[in-house]
Amino acid sequence: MDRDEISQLYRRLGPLIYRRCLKLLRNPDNARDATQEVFVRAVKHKETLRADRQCLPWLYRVATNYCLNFIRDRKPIDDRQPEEILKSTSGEERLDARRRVLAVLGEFDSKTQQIAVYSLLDGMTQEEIAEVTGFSRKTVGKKLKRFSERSKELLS
Amino acid sequence: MSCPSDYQLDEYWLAGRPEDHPVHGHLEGCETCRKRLMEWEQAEDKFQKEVFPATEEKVAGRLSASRSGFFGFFTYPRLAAAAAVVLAVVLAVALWRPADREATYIGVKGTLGLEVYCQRADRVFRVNPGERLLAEDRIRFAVSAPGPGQVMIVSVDQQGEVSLFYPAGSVEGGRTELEGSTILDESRGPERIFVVFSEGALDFAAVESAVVRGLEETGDVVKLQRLPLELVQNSLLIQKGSSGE
Repeated sequence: MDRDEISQLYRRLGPLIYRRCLKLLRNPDNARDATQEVFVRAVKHKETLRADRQCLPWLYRVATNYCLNFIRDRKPIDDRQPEEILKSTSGEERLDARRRVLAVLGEFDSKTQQIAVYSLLDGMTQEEIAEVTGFSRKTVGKKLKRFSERSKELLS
Repeated sequence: MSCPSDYQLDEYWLAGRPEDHPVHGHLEGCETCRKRLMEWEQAEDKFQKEVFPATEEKVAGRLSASRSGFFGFFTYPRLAAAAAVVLAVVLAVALWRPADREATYIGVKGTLGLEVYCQRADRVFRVNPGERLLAEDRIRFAVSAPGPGQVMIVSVDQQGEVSLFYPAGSVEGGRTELEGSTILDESRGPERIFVVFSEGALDFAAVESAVVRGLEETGDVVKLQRLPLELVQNSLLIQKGSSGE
């Protein structure tokens, strides 16, 4: 892949990565920096990356990993409350779920964190999560169940 | 269909919003989702107008610089021929070593061969058992499978962190250079790379579970030479850390 091909691929996949990072980080500057980093990592680790449906699970995984690490490693740069940061146009009914995720996420291993984000923040089905993470649907279901039970305990 | 997830909307967007996509039909009758899709349009607009012009040069520069060399190593005939000679010599040396050395080469253990190659700066070399690798080293794999089937490559470090290096992928029998490469992170200490083979489908969760069980039983990745799985398999131990350690 030469430089022109890399640029074309970036132009095609960049918006998707940017939207994903913006959704998780809720800060345009951080999302912009994250986008280039995620793209570079995604291409470096997968030489055959193409702008088609097959690349989606991989991009989701790299972007989510990067953003969760970013959130873990750094304090929010603004003074908004977590609920505000995560509040989006997707509807009030999911806000409770988001609050729950954010409040207890740090208590779980990294894989469960990702699965919880995919499920509760993204509204992905267990089949979609299985496709993105590489786990079986059964494992996804188990981890979500464990997350749900444990988070209830932690929040009660 | 019910309202699509973000993932499905991404899939639809990436495909160029084709009319025969199930999401397209849904959007025609769902105002909520049409509004949701505005978020995609805004991100596209913002990226093309602001993010791309500001970051493209840096991104392309980083990738162009990092991509020359390692893959060319496998592409250019002369270098490939040189590699074959080196491989033959290494293999001969490996086979001449005492029998109690850790077996990781083609034909030495079982019927599944694992070769690991590393690119460090301008140098490409084959990784020997126990060899020390550094953060940012780029590694890639070649396997020799006993027949048509799937292979998967995972690793586990001393802390029990399991990484998926190569997801289940189909191979024919014989030697196959696997696509893609992995850049090592900054973690340190011993890490064991496993390759497993199955004539049927491979499930990462099952392999991961076997890695965890195996590590619980041995308590040490150095000792964990075989996974508790009824699969053809092989492994290679590496040491991660700085060159001065």
